[in-house]
Amino acid sequence: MGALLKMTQIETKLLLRDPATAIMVVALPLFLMTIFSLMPGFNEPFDGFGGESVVDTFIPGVTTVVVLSVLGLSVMPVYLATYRERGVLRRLAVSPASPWLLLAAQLLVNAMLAIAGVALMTLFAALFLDVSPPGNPGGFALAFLLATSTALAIGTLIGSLASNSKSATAIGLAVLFPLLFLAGVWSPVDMLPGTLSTIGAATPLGAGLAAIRATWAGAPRSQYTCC
Amino acid sequence: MPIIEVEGLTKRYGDHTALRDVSFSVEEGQIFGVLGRNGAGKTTTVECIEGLRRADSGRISVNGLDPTRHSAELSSTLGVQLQDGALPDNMKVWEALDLYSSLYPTPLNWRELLEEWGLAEKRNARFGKLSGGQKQRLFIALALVGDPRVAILDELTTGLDPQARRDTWSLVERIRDRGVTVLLITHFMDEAERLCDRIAVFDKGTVAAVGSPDELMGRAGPRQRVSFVPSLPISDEDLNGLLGVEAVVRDGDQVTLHGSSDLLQAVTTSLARREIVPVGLSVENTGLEEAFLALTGEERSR
Repeated sequence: MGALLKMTQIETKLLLRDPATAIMVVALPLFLMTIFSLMPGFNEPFDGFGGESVVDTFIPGVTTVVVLSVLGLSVMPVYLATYRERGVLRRLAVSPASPWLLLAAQLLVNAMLAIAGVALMTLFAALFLDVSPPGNPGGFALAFLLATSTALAIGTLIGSLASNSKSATAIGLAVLFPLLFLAGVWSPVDMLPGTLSTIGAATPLGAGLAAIRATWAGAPRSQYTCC
Repeated sequence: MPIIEVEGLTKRYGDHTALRDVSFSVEEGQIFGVLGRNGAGKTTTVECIEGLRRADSGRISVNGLDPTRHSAELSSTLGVQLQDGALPDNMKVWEALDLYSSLYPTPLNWRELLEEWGLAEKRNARFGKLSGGQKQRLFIALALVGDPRVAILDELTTGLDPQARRDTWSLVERIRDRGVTVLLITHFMDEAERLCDRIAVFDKGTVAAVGSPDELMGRAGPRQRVSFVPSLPISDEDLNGLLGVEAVVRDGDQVTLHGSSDLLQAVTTSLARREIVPVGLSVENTGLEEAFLALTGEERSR
């Protein structure tokens, strides 16, 4: 337990010392929220979203999913593959540490970063952009944690398969963009053509975005459990 | 009882046989050299000992443990400095020691190691900013932080300048002086000759010879060469009768004697007694390098 705490502390420090990543995770959602709230019409009631505005329903969910999937599918696998490429994993392999120790620390650090990024985004949007916070906070937290775990799980797989940082970046992006598209980040999943919409709803990020959007809008549990 | 025993180790990669029937044993408290060219099988052997690689056949015992079956227990009795190991560039020196000390059941005080290995001034420096020598000292400190019985040092001085190499040699002796058995992997003859109590000479995946540097040099041939032109004639019998002389070679007036390393003294004393002056006297110690070439059956470069 002491070792896990120490490893997590150090991985946190290392992540914060690499300011590009930390700034991106914190600044990207604020930037996206601001841009979208300035878009003409996004603050107006929209028929497609049952009379709610786009900024109040669609955008927070999309921003949340973009943040957690960039962290899970790009940042973490590239970190792990860089460790492998540089020999950091080899050095650790000849110590008594179990490989789980580093993986657990990486998962914790990235989950914390995702939570921080999304919490800040929610606060910022509520204070400065007049976006209502999640209508079903418990449900939102659950949906968010499940979606984050899913993205991190896929990222762990990529990080374990990629032999170096270049291939991790390539695989990560090759998985990230189709998944974001199918999740309906660019256009809501229910507006995708028939088959794509069915596939999209079944992808991890598609299901995640649906649950996150629904709980942000305040739907009770019965309405966002599909099937 | 040996602390490391390797018996009949064999490892193949496809058609290529990396190790063939490799056997040696290391006594506790020694500096044991694993000497050979690049590609001779040194690193593969050591990776099998560390448990990073599994041999196709053969038996390894380190402190009574089998690396393939007891890797967890083994890694807390082994301190390893890897040829291609690294730390994250942004990790600070003290953080690395703090982290690695938390991984071992009975760690040493890493603050003392920091002092001992001359890293105190660099405690807040990031790994990526350290010089080659500083990185090596940090890796040695990391290898020792778990209070190991055996330290494995792989190509410790490769890439260091001559002064840093010599400094590192005294560090290796300090590790042994702490009572830690050292397995030193190197392709530098002078390093092995200077540091090692015993050496396994690797050649094309096999162990060509095992012994102390003196034994290896003795096995390979004469250890000192003394050349001179005698001021008065002296017969081969007289020269051969001198203590330590093993061979006499004449080239015109010039006489070259091959023999043990105390040859020079015997020759000069005896010549002085006969009032013969050795003109143009030169002495050459034939080192481990020559022995290595002879043992591995390579062409002599001269």
